[in-house]
Amino acid sequence: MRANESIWYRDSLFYINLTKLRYDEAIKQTTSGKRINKISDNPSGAAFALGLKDRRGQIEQFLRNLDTARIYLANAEDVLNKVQTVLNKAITDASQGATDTMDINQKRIIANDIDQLRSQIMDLANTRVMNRYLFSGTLTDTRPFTEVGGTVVYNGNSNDIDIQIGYSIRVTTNLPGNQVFTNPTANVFEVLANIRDHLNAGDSGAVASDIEDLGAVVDNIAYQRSIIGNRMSELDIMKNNLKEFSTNLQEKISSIEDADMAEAISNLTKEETGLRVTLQSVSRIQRLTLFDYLG
Amino acid sequence: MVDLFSSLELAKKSLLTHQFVFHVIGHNIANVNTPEYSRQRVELGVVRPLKLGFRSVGVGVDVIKVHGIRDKYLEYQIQKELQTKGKASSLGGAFKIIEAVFQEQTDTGISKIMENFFNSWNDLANNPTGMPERTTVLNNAKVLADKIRESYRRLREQQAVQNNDVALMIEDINQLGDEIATLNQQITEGEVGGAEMNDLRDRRNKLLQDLGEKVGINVYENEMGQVTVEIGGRPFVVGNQANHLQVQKDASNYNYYDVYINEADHLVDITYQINGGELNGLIEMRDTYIPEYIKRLDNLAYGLITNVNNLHSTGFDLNGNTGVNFFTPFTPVAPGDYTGAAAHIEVNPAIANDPEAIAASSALGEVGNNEIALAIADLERAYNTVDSDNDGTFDYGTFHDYYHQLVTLVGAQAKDAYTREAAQEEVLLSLKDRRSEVSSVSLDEESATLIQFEKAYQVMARFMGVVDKMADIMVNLGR
Repeated sequence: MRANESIWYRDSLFYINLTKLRYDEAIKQTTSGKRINKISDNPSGAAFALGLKDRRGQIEQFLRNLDTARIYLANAEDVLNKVQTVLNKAITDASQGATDTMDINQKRIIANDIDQLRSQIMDLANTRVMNRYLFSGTLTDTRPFTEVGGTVVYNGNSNDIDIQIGYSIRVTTNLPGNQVFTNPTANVFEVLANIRDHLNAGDSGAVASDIEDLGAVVDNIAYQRSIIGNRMSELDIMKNNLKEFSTNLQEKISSIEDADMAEAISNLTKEETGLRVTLQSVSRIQRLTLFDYLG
Repeated sequence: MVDLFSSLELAKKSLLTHQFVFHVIGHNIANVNTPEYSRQRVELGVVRPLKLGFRSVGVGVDVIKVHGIRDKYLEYQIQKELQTKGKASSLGGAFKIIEAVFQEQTDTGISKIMENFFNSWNDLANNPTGMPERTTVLNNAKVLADKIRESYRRLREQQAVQNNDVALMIEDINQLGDEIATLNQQITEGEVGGAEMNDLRDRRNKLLQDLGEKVGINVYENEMGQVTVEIGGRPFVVGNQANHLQVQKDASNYNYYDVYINEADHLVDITYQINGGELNGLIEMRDTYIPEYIKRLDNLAYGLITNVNNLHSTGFDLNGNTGVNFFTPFTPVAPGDYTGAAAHIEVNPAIANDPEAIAASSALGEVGNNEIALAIADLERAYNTVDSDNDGTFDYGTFHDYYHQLVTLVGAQAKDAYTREAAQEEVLLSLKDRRSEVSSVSLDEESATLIQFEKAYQVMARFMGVVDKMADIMVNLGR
């Protein structure tokens, strides 16, 4: 084996270069805080992290959808809550009117009150949220209830509006008005109109039977409200699940992508020392040759 | 009998021989930093002795030959490994740029933008009549289409760069071929008398290595000391003649250059016969790697265009219109051939500036109906949305999975190229070190030889002095 200068210079250069590359890599990891800075650093890991990020993005979208669904449902519940209050007042009023002790003028005053309450319910049934009628099915730009010739007609349809809140999970965000207000078995406008008309006519007997019909209306509204309540609790459960899922995904993404800072910094220090030592040794060692000793 | 003049002659010859050796040592030291230089050794020999009757008398020393100390097998290995290195570093260089096209570490990659696009359909489903939501769908669709076209364009640009480099590389290769041919001639002429043309051989070795790094070659040396160089199995340098390479545009491959070798007035296509060297890397990147990435981008783009359109065209917009495509539709070149889809993708200009024209509803007049928006949003997670094997049916999904597969492919191939490049550097380092062990000049060794010959030279000079004195005595004998 012959050792000579060219080997030595070439090797020094190669190792300086190699140490510099590693130093460079260590700097990238610490400054970016990422373990993967280009896809070739870890191709399958990079793609896996991308997949997780996409899912996280979808889940964040589901959470946004969920919040939107909540706004619609909460507003519908609020409306039904108000409707219940109005109906309770109507029952009290109608019950007074159903007694024979009351004269016809007093009954007419009550009839007028009932008519007022009916208009209030009409206004509530035509509630708009974010420019969209809550109770007209998918015809959200159509005023659902209008009065034509003394009768309230439904202008919407019976369709649901769904929102995606999970992988293959959707929640219905609306209640079509014909199921809530103009339900064939419990038509609030019809029943209230009957009470008004019968009070005006002084027909206590008819009013008494109307009050029973009103009971069915109250039951229906309570039932519709419970539907909304169930959907909202489903949303709450779903929201917790999604948030947990999103946190787990984030942790996984971090474990693939993020550099362990303590490790990265100690690595950087190590590479820096390595580079310094390499450079120093290369610059300091004066290669001695026989020529130095020739007189 | 031997006379004094023979001794004087012997001394003179010896001194001259030693001076020659000093000269070679000087030449060696002067070339201590010349990479391709092989150290030279003077082979000394006894001069043919004089015959005097029954005795033979030595008449000193002479130079027989100057040897270049080199290991032919090592030179051959270095030249072969440089071919592998040339290809690896050519691929590695291109991958640094290609990889950036698919860079997804920031939030501006196709994957993220695709996600934003589908998310905006979800937002639209939440509020089908909302103008901000509709505008966002159009914006995100435009960003997605732009991004796919941009990625496509950057791949094509790199392809064109590779192609240009092919033409430039060929000029370098031809020049090296000419130089090698010239050296062939000079070496043969110089070595006719039996001398070794060491410096010319070193130079030719260097040129062969340079050539090998640029293009895969096979080298054969004949008994006259000439090398024959083959590229792609065809003769490139024969004797003092170099058959030049030239390029011709290939109409069936985007007018990219094919490489031909000019053999006695007819051209032979060797584009895909070249094995190794940077030229091989350039062509492989241009004709194999990049086209595969573009094909997959096309498949993805076609899947997006067609699946979104299929749903959108069944829907109704805010004005009751139906049957409108969301993206400008793309007609496959042939069943399963979606070449050009990635370059083509754009939001249908008929709706691009009209948010009301987005069909979110599945029924005429139902503006609150969000079925189509929901269905398009669902495409993000749907299977069988991409035709991955180009057989004309959608058989792969999701879009994200397909794209991630592409990213993994690019990343893995880039990593492979970088690893090969680095490994090749190490292989070459150790080969070059071994070559240096054999051939490079060691200053210590030269010093030792110098001392050795200096001593002999001093003594011989003295010997000459003694002979001179003796001659002097003889001349003055009669006085």
